[in-house]
Amino acid sequence: MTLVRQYSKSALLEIINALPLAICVIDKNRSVVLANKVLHGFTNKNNEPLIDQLAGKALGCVNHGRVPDGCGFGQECLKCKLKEALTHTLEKREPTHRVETTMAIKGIGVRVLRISTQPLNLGGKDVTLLSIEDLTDLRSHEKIRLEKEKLSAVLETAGAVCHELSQPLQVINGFCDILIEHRGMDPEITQALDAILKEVKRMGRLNHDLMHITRYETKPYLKSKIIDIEKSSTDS
Amino acid sequence: MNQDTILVVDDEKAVLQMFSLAFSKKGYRVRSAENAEEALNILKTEKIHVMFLDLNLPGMNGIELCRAIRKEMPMAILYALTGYASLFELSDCRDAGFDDYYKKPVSMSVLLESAKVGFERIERWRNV
Repeated sequence: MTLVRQYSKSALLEIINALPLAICVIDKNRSVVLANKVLHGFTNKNNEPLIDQLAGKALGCVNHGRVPDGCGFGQECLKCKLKEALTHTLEKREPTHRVETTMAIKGIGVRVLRISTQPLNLGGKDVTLLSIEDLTDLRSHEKIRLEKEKLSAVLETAGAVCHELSQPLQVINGFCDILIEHRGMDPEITQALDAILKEVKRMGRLNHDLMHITRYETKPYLKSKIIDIEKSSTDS
Repeated sequence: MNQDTILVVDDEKAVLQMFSLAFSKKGYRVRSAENAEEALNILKTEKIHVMFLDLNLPGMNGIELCRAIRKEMPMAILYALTGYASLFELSDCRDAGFDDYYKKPVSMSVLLESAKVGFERIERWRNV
């Protein structure tokens, strides 16, 4: 059984205004009863009152205006984890913790959010406290860091492969050059040696591209993906 | 028959074998070493003016070897060979005193031409 605390509006507003997360209180009709300063900044609605607006509209959800039956009843709303968390807490009076979701917000774009809900009692009425963390920048930095780590691993591997491949390529190339200089060689053998040299040069170019990898670009390969050496190289 | 001597330094036997064959077929005498120490020992007893040094050698690397040789033989012609090239490496090679720089795989005709040019230069300097 979840302990449901009782608060007065002024006391709760004082508390949520002191917190760094975007926080609002939603009643059983899904309307905003209280909203802190961070939420106003988050929705880019600093001068617009959010009180009495439906949660979707108050948060600036792009799907809000598209649904004829109102917020929470559209096709997109069926997949909305925010709606799911709110409904759960409003109906069951149980909290939800750190649910990660994405939301397309008017004038801002798609944001990655981590939401938590908590049942409360506000002046004798059952309400839900909704707190929102915007993880968009964090996730974006994580993605960049991951790409850098992958690139670093690719560069180390590429360096080792280049060095190891260049030696046998040099040996094949050199011996072919020696053989091709033999006078009176069967034309078919000369042709075969030319073909080997052509392929060695091709491998040499590939090695060159490997040495100049500066980005992490992939291409599909069967059911997986592999690094696109040409696209990842500075010379491409 | 040309009996100018070339020193080739590379840690791979197959590479040394190929270079020895290619240069000796053109009439050069070839001395080969698998590491810097071996190369410096050869140079203590023999006068060799044209050398091809791989950069990635065990122990003392090709750049350090070049510096050591350049100190004793300022007129030698030194060519760098590398399997992993970068602009940074190229500037390091120039700084160490290499005359030129080749990225493997390189055609033997290019290296033979470099050897020829190197010996011609030495000959010209002898007559100054």
